[in-house]
Amino acid sequence: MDGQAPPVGISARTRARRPEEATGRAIIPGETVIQARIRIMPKATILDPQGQTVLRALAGLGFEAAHACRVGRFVTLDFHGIGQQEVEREVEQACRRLLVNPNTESWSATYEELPDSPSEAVA
Amino acid sequence: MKAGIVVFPGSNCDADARRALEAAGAQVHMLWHKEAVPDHLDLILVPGGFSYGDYLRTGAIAAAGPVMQSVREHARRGGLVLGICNGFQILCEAGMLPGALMVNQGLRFLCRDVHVKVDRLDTPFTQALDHPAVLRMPIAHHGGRYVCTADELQELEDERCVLFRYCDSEGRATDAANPNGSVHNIAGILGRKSRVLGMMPHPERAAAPGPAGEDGAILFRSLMGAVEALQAL
Repeated sequence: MDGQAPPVGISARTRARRPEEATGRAIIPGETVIQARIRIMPKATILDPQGQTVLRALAGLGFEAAHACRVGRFVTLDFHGIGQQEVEREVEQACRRLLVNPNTESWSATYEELPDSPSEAVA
Repeated sequence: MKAGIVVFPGSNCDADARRALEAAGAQVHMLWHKEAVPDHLDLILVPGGFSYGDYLRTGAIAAAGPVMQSVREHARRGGLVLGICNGFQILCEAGMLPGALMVNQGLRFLCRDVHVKVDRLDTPFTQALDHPAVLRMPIAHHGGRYVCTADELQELEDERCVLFRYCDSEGRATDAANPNGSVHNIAGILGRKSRVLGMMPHPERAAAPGPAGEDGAILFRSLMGAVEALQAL
């Protein structure tokens, strides 16, 4: 199939809306982009069977010095047009409202100013 | 009874739920998640499936959708809400029920029949039972291990909010009968004023003659009876 063909089952309306949803406001050349790097981990009190299984598999490969493993998630969010303080507030809200389940997960974030435009071009 | 079934991208138990509700005599509206929810509904059912491909966490994206605000308001007005499987995960993620559902202890997707025991007959979901019972229903999930804080667990037990517990065919809630590692063998819990229920087993898949049995039909008959009793007042 032609690589440019739209995915099957996506309506024309959805297709038309997709690019602007993905990119939001256009980035002005030279504008500062701040990337939030959000690390989300299962809380220490929560059993992490995935981590245990990875640890067992590593032991099977001879990595016997490793004695604990937990598997989490890493999310990057690129912001432009707002300063670091506001980015931190946005990230806080995003974590609270969607990215993190406070019952089972904890999170932390670091922030990095990207030299140019976003690290990954949006298709 | 007027029932609505919320349909998200990736819901796949909505048609079964419709059949089970209609068999019990309900009038069913399918509610695409982008449409407004009619306000005259007695019950909103959040069905099983893989809403939004289980991206981020199971149920998390669906829970953040605007339709869940309507479901929350429906519950606040005293409306009945039933979340099954992914629906249970969505209700937890939306904060309508305490706790969360994590990947099964054994990491495997589980698809088989289980037994659950019911002690409470005074809820809209079980009032058609005439005695405490052991019901057989299928489970089909990868993330069904119920977890919550010690305080929440205490409250669930004290308030008798654990409606279904995994057990063996004799009704013993043993570790061996716990398929996924859920705390206290929890398979289903009640929320707000016993009018919100989330459960991992699929009553809608065991609601008509067939190999899965018909034990699940009791839930839909109970809901019919509860709504009719309320309307008769």
